[in-house]
Amino acid sequence: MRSRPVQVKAIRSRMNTTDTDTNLVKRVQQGNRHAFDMLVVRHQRRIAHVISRYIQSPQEIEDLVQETFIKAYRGIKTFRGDSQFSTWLHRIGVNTAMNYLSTKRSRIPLYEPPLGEDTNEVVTPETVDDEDPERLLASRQIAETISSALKRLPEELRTAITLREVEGMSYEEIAGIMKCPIGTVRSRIFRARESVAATLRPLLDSCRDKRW
Amino acid sequence: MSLFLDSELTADKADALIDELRSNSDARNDWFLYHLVGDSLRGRPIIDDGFSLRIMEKLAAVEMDPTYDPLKSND
Repeated sequence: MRSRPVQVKAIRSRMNTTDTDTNLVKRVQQGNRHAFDMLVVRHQRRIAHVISRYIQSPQEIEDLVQETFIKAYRGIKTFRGDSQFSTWLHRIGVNTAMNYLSTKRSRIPLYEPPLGEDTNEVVTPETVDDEDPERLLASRQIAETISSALKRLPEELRTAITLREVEGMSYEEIAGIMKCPIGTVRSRIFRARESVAATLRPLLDSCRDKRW
Repeated sequence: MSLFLDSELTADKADALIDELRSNSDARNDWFLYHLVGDSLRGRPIIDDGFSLRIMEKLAAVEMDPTYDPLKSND
């Protein structure tokens, strides 16, 4: 009986909260472009990651990510919510990459790697980024800053944000695992994000007005 | 902001936050940074900082088309 109020509160919290993507998509469909900009910031790296499984050139990846979002915005009114927005966007990204490869193959002869090249090497966009070494360096610096900041977090904050961001657990599930109230989970996740973001702000502040 | 990232806000508070982001550059910056932290944890590429702005610049010329289905089109 003592745990009941917590359970009731958690259920009520779930019933009243709104899925962020669903909310943003609804606003876009009503004509709010700014809401779509928020979706871009939210999903851009995931789409870049998906496309990078098929495309190696960073410039081509960027072009295809742009094309993906352009198609998504143009066709947003045909999104009915039968799947999650992220799933719909993912499919557009994959289709865009596949169409590009199909067009490219029809124009360029099959690539034959020169003798001696290790064709089993796993290549990521970073390892072939000879187009802009400065950009690559900046990306690595950001990644290292985030990694260091995460390692410096108190264990309970690092655990909370990892369970949320990597394992995709809900606040309620995290509260169960960490044996703490949901309010404590909220606080830990916020403090973890804010602590890491604080180390990034000086690094990225010069570009903030060019961001979005 | 943190709660909104995780779909833990009520609809009215979410709507208010969306409106605030439009005019508050610090809040927009936090939206960007918090997503950067999460994406980094998930091993996603740390892409160039002007990336999203370049996408939005291209989007400025695009209009919604209620007859266009991106999953059925071959473009």
